[in-house]
Amino acid sequence: VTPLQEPTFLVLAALAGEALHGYGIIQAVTELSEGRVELRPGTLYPALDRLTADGLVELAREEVVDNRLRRYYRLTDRGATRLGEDMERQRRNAEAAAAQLAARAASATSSSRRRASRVAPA
Amino acid sequence: VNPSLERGYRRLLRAYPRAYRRHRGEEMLATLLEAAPPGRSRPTRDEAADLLAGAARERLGLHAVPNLAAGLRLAAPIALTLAAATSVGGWMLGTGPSPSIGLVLAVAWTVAVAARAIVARVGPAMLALACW
Repeated sequence: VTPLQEPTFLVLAALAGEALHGYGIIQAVTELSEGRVELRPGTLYPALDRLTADGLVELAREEVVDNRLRRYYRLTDRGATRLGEDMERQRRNAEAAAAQLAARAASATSSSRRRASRVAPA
Repeated sequence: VNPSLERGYRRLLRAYPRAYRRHRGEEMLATLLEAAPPGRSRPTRDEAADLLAGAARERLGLHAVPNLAAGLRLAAPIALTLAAATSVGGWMLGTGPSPSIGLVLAVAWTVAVAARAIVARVGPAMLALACW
């Protein structure tokens, strides 16, 4: 399974909680990414086209608010599975990287201890 | 809603293919208007760039391109076809290579480079989203 790109991951995560319309997704993605990812319509809608075609997202309902068309999207079961798989992948990567960093920290400590003993007078 | 802002967005949305606009136009307009802070009277440059790039990708089928390398693979045959067509055209007309043919070849490469630029300019993350 190919890893999800971050914006795609965030769109799926945004829709996991509740059905959202376009602007709702944009806001939720900004929030989830702590402001790092700001979607624009020119990129959001092709993504929704794609996710819908792949069966990960579906149209939940349409509303007309102040004479404007709103389409609400929700995560499908397949989308939830896909999101869960990618979450798991990222969690394992993070854990593996954390272990590597811990090993580095441990070897740095022991090598500095070795250096210290080398310069110490016999 | 500021009517001149709505007009501005509608003008930009006209860059999209008609079929796509029928499907998404009103929805995208609503999203743009909802996202616009109060008091804005015209689309920003970033918004215009986003929509025009989106429309170009839609027209060129580039939203299915995952990265730069794939974009180049897609652009190369287009450029080659244009170049070949102009050469054949020149040969049939008996004009052979001439400065104007050179110009057309340059245009062919410009198309290829433009397709590549569209892929590159939106940034890997945004593009990835569009194509994931």
